[in-house]
Amino acid sequence: MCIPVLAQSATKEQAVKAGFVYNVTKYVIWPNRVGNDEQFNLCVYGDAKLGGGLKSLQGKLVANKPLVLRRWVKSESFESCHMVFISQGSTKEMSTLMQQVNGLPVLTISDSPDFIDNGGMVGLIRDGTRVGLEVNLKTVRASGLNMSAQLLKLAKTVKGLE
Amino acid sequence: MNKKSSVLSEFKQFCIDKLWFVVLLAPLLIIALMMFKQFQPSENSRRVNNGLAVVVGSVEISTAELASIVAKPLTELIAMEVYSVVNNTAAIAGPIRKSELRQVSYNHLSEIRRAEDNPTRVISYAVTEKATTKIIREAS
Repeated sequence: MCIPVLAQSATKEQAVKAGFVYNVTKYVIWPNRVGNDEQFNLCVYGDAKLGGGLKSLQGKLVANKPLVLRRWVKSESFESCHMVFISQGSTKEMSTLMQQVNGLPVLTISDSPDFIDNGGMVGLIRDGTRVGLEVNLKTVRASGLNMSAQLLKLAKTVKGLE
Repeated sequence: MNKKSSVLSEFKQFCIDKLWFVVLLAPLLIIALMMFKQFQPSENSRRVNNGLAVVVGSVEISTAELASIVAKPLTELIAMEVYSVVNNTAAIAGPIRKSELRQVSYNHLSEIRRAEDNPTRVISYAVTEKATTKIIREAS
């Protein structure tokens, strides 16, 4: 079951990270999927502190599809999600989550430390006084997603680049 | 024998007479103990002392500012200063109390625990009624 994410206020850090989340979608191509693909589902897992920032993305267009923000719950399959934001507090469940998403064309993104080392695709990290990106290209490719070389150039770290 | 039983019976009566007092006092004592424990500074707060500190102020921004930031292209977002670096955060955020830690969510606590394993990077949170300040201290 998907539960809509409630409106929250945001801090500058949350806003910037939400901006990153939205911008990343512009550099990724999802394969055509069977079923309800009229909207872009951004699923949020865990106690997302970015809630307020992410909420502002609701309705924005991703590849001409309106972005719909969903609170993802454990019992649900990731298949309905195009992208999953996993909050920092979900470190313990990370390996289980990564197993669930494995092989699906679902982009995983998180501001959790060491996210790409734990099988995640895009990590939002602190780069000095700024927010930076790190990418695990191996997992991105394994999921059937295409990521633009432009995004890789902007990333602070790219893992699995051959 | 009679004297002994009389003393016992008096003591029993005394206990029964004072039972209301014990019933009333016990929960109050428990509450007082809990409050005392909460106001003890946590171990985590004592660990964050030296080195460079990066402060993440969590002052809320307006909806217009939020929309403006989210609309920025990635290159601009990457260039944006989000965290401020200060040499001494002691004046900004004092020791974290257990009572405050109770107000932050589980992920904050797990981060603090994780930081303990890595002495070069310690993350702590100072919580006030209006804002949470995230403090990341790194060995200089």
